[in-house]
Amino acid sequence: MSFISLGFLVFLVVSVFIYYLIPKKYQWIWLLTISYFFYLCSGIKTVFFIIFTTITTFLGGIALSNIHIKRNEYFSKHKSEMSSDDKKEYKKVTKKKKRRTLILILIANFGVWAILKYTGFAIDNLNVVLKEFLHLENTIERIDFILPMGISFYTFQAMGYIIDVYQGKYEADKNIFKFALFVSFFPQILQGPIGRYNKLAHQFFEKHSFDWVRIQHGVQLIAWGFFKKMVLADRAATVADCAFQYVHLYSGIPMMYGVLMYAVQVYADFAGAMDIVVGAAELFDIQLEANFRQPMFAVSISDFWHRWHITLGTWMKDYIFYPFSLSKVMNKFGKFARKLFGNTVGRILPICIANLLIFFIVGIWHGPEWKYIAYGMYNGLLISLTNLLEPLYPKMFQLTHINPNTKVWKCIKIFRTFLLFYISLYFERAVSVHASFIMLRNSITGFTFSALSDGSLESLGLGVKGALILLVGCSAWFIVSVLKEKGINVREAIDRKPFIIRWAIYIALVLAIPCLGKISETQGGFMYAQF
Amino acid sequence: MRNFKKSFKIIIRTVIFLVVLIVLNETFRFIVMPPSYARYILGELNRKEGSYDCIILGASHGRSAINPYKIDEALNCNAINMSIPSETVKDSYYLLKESFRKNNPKTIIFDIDYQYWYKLKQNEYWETFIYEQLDFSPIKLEYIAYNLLEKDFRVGLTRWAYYFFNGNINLKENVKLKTSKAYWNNELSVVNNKDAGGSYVGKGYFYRDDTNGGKGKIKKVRFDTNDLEQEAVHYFKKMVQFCKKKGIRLVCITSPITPATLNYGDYETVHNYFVKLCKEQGVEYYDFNYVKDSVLHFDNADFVDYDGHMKGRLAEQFSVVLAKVIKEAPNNSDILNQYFYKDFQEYYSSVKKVVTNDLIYAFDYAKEKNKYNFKFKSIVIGGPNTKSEVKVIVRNINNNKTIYEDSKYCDYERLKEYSFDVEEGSYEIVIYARTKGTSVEYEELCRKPFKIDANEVNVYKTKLAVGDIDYE
Repeated sequence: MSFISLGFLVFLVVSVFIYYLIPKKYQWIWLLTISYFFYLCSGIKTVFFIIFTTITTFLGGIALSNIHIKRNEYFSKHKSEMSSDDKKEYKKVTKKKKRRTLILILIANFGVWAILKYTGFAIDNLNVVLKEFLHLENTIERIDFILPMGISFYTFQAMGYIIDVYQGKYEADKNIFKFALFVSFFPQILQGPIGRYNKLAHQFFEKHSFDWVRIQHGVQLIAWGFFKKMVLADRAATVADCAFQYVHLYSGIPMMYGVLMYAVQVYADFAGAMDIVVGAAELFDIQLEANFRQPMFAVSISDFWHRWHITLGTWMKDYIFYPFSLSKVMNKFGKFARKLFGNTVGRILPICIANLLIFFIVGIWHGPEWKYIAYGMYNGLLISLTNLLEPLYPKMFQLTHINPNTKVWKCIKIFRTFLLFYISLYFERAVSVHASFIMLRNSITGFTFSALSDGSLESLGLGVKGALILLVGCSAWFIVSVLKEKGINVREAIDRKPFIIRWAIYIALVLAIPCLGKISETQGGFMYAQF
Repeated sequence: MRNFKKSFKIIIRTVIFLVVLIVLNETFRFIVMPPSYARYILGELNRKEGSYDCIILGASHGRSAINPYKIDEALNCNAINMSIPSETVKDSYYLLKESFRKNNPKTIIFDIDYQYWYKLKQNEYWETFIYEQLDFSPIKLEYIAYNLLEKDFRVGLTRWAYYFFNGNINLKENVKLKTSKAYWNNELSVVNNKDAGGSYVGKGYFYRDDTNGGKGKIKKVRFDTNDLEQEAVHYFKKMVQFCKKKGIRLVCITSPITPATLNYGDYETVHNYFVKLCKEQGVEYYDFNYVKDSVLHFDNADFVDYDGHMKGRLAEQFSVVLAKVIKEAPNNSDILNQYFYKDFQEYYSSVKKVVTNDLIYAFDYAKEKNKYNFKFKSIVIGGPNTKSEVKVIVRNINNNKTIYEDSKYCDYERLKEYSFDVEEGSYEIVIYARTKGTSVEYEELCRKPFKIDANEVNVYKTKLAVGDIDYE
């Protein structure tokens, strides 16, 4: 069920209506029912996978809890009889058991995800290797699996839970149905955000009363999300698709314009989807975590990734970056690096390697193609380089007499960060790594100002009228972003305006969607829904 | 009490807000969307209860080809032609159901156009143009439930946006037409019927004779039975079931299309597929592209374009033949042998001359260092007993210089490709041909101007000229 479908709107209205009609203690059951109904609309066969993740993770959590409980019970029974070595040994044994359980669950679920998503890619590459080294052509037949809806999101969400239980952050959920709701909550199943059990689960089981202001805000956020998607993203997509499809025909300014439009498209599409998701959850009085925080105002690539797809970034940080960089192996490496390169570099190198690993995973999470890996590694390399060069910045500012605290310098940093993000899009969107390099090269070598007036920009498919709509729409979005960056709650600010102004804004927003929304020949869904 | 007042205020404001939105939406619908032919013909269908007992369904081909008055004469019935340009099989199904709301049809004639069964590219907005005009009824609700819920919500709620976005609106004119008496009396005069190509005769039939637009493109007939529009198949089967349930006669036909198109591509696959499908479904099917020349003679000149829209003159004759077949079929088990060729081979063998009076060509060109490399293909249509001889000349109109000329008349295979450089300028291509083995004078079969102009041309894409063939 696509978010942009009429069926989804009908589904949402009916679901919310019933949600507030039924006794509050049954509200979570209704949420579970509609979440699975939503999931089943995507196909009955694929529901098996989310059930598999739910059951294995739930049972894994119970098993980990039981190991922990048994250990405590054993200690309390035999504490006085046990020597400290015995206690250590017993702890070691229980830790080993827990680790085995955790690894089993992780392998089972990530394994399923990896097989479904990456088998085709692995086979292709294996065939390349066999061809290059053993001169065997197409030895293994490619297998492509249908990807269950939202598998990348709910898998990561569930695995975050099991790791937290392993680490003892909280106890495992004892109710499989309540846990199933955490895994399958419908607004976030398609495109995230990736939720955390301790922040999300309790909300499902609280009693929720109807609040008109909250409903209004939720609807407004959904409408704003549709605006971003239909007016901005779909319109920018016309240009982006053309530029990336006809790689050999465009160069210089038209190519750069195409990539710029892709930047608008990907941001508006994903951010729009998140607004719809968060708005829909708000209707049920569930607060989801924000996935975007004005990323275009980021002052560095690091800052960018703290503002873009935030929940994926924090998931990577909490479950991969920290465990990896604090592991024994990296500790040893750190010591070795300090001996070789000195304290400063030696201290930073393990962090750099951890970042490279993170972004390798981020890249491959996006899809089973080398271009996504290149995209991830590009970001990882930038961040690692930043980390390595950071100690030199104070000296550089001193030498160049630049005051890094001025607004001008901040603007320069924002522009620089955007440029670096912009370059990464060549890798993310191009059909291949090779194509992305061709596009990068052509953008520079084919640069002529005459492209501004010779009709080549228009040939990308967006006329003057469309470009104007995009410009005005982006300007409105920019204003809202600036207000949010300043900490102003835009919806509450509008609430305080006289009703005629409020209504004018709401009506303009609602009418802008059909009036200014791009109508494509083949209606598309959201970009991140494919993950 | 205070809480109740507050809640009541909120509810009232919400209701008013929604009403304002609905009013705005309906206002846009009224002023942005022009009066439609679908509205008119549906109004005709439901004008008087129990009027029509024979319903003709199909798309633009059907509207040009079938004169319901001729059907009336032969079958002693009251037919209405509900064929609407761009009507899909799904639309036909819902129109079929709609026709039973206020009428009691005994016969349904369904003109099958293969183009709606394979690689049909439709904008989602355009897909719902007939549904939009249905009266609010269980049929409309059924359409919403089965078709609209999965579509973009704008398609169902704000269909007028399509016109708004395309900039193809004339608000003043729309308001003027829609506030006129003629609109409320459901008169055809308020509808823009330029696409009908001729005058309105009545009961959904237009006598088509306008050829000013030129013959247009000739499209290769492509039809992959493994990749059909499943929705078309699904709704066709529903139509069959519906008719069987109601005990009414469903006669499936394919009205003739332009012979030049018929012979370019794989029509045989199309024909065989529908013969098999209709046999499996237990319904009659008559493909009038295979009608015997002695029964109904037609050639390219009888069509306004290569797509297959019949001129009125042929439509009158065809309707008589169609009515005759429908009348005789129940009592004549040999009707297929009497009136139709048994297969494509038999049809093709009957073609005895170069049947096209227009040579079709296509060209594309790419700009390389300010010169254009120019390619085209030419096709001469003829039957298997025909060989054509052709000579091609390309001339610069401005200085009358011949830049290309075949050294002699050549035997042609179905396609021959040329390639040479041209500068910017205005040219014409002239093609002379005759049937080989005859002693007639070579005929100038085709004279087509074309222009190569850097300002007009999108040099990054292939440009196909008028009269071109859609080729791969």
